[in-house]
Amino acid sequence: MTARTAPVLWAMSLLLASACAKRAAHDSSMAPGEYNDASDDLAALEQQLGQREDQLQAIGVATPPRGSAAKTAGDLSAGADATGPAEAAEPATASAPVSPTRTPTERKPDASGDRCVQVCDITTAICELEDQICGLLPRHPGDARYQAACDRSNADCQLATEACHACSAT
Amino acid sequence: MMTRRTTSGLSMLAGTLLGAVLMLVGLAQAGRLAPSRPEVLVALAQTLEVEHQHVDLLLKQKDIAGAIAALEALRKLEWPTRETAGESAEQLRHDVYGRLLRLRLDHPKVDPRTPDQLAEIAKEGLGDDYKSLAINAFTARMVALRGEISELRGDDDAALGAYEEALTMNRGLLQQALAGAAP
Repeated sequence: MTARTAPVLWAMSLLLASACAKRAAHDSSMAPGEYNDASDDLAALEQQLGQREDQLQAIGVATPPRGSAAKTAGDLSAGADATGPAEAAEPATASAPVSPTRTPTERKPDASGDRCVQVCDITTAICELEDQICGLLPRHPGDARYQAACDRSNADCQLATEACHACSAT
Repeated sequence: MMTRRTTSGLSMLAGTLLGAVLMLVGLAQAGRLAPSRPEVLVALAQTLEVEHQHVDLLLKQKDIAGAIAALEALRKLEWPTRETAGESAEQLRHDVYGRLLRLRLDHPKVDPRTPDQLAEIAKEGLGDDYKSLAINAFTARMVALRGEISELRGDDDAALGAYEEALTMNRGLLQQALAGAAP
């Protein structure tokens, strides 16, 4: 990281970290009956988004027209209604990033707890990959490559799980 | 004698300069130098942060179709190049495309896409040069998603390759995290 990029990355890290914290606080405090408030929030967010996009356009980055996105959303919503409530339900972890933070920059963990969350989140990703790799085995019985990949991912998952447990215990 | 020494010195200087230029070009191509327009990266990050909040809210309202549409709209964004905004811009793009693909895979009946279309989205999101990026969780997730899509297409060999690639990235991330240097 050069001296020139460092302030940008830190600014972005701080910005995203504070926003994630705000988001988490908002999510945890939101009761099921608060969707009316949510639509107010949505309007505020859309306004904020418009401002950000104006900012991007001002520095020469083309952005998609908001009107078309809103229209598509409306069209899709109609389609979603037909799928029923079971389809509309979003699994709690479906959109969660593999990493505990959305900040993809060179953010250094500043507390051991933070690092531990990272270790355990990476462990989750590794063990999910183990499930996926070993899930291929029944379709390829006797194939050494699939067997070896499954064995290796199994060892990775065990190792990562131990690291997560050791980290959590301290 | 003097002429030969001067020529030799000039050759050495030219070689040094050429080496330095090549190194700078290489670094620039790898996106490891400062982005030429850091303000683009900051503006992009701010825009996406608000858009992610927007998607969070739509999901809280169980509006999967709206969330997918919001993320689809981001595909139309003219994503800045690595030279303009640095590697982080590409990682931010992987985050957005990864979230879109996760939703599409988990909700295949909402605005359905064929496995081939999903593969096209994954290819578009990952870009041609993702392997030269610094190791990060967003690219690792995108590669794993590409594996899931390969499975849907019935290409288990490609799926296994993608899963192994994602596993290697996560192994690296774990090592970095354990060493206290994870991104």
